Amino acid sequence: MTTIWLQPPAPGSDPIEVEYTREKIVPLMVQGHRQVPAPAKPAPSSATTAEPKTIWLQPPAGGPAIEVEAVPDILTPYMNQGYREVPAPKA
Amino acid sequence: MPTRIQNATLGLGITAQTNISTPAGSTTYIVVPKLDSDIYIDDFNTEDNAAWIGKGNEFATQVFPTAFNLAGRIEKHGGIEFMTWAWAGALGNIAYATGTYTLVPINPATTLEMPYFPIVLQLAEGGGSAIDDLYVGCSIEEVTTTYNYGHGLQSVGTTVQFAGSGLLTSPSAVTLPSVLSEHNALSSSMALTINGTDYVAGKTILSGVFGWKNNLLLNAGYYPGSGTQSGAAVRGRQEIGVRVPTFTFVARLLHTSPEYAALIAQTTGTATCTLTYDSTHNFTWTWEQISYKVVKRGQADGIATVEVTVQPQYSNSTGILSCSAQCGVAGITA
Repeated sequence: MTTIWLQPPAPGSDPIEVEYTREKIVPLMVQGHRQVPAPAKPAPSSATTAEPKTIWLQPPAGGPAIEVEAVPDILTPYMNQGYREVPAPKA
Repeated sequence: MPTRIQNATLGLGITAQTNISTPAGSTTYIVVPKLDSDIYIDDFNTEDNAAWIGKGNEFATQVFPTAFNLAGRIEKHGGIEFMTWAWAGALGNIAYATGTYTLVPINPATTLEMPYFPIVLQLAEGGGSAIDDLYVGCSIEEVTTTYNYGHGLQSVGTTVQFAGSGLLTSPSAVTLPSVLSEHNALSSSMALTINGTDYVAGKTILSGVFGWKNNLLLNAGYYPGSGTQSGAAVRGRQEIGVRVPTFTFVARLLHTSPEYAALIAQTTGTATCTLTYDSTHNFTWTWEQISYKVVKRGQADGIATVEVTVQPQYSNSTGILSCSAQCGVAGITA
């Protein structure tokens, strides 16, 4: 089934998807609906599709580096304690 | 040195401008040969002060620019591609998918302005260009498609009258593509049913006309603030006036001919006409509700005929006219 998107004439209205047959679209076009490009689909959320980015932090007192998620809420306390970013250890 | 008018190249923009005055440098054009010999000019109109009192005589001493005005005509055979462009521009509401256009008149409750298309005219001469004009903001004033009995390309014709805003870009800076390979429909390909009568099956149809005139309010396009060019006014809008559909046909008169009885009874029905080049190049008019307005009798080649003026009517659900077209040109948009 082929569909097109039609913009209703009423201001502020959202486009509607209509099957592209003469019987379906002509009455709408007569009312003033106009073809518009299909609305862009929302991009998939990176939080649900991508692995969280992590970095490795070296404690100020030495010892093994720890891996933490690279988001401000998690990173900031470590940085305030003097942790610093180091390359990921070799496996 | 002189140049022949066959060198004139006409480029029709197929993507409507975003507004009447925006030059459409990136628009896609189709280049189509035409039959008429008109080569357009953006008329530069003036007025003078000859009649003014107090300057001593009746002769002009000053001339003033008034307005630019472009009006043009394109006359062609039954090329499906041009027919689609012409009727799309004339009706104004265009939908397209899977190679099929649906064309419907604009609803005046939503807008009065027709789509604006750029048109380019170039005429090579002496290694240069005698004409290289981009006419910005053109809209279709009238389209007429005729069909006749007889063979050859003359059996179908489409003529367009268009009006331009007056805005001109010269030289155009447009590189036109090569001439479009058109698919010309012949009237012998026609399917035609009017008010319940299949005129092809009955072998009675001879000729006919479908037309649509927008009666553009061209003078009202020059409004305060509409714009100027070289000191003369240009239009800032081209709105539809009282639109007039045209639908006439001539058929052979038989003892079973239904037209006069349908006129008296004011029988209403639909009318559908299709011209076909092939399965992917065809054009259909569907008049949603019609009755007969005038029925006359005449003759063609000595054979009695009936000449019918059809009264297209507006249906609240399906409007007055819708067209369906298939052609190789994608992207004709409003």
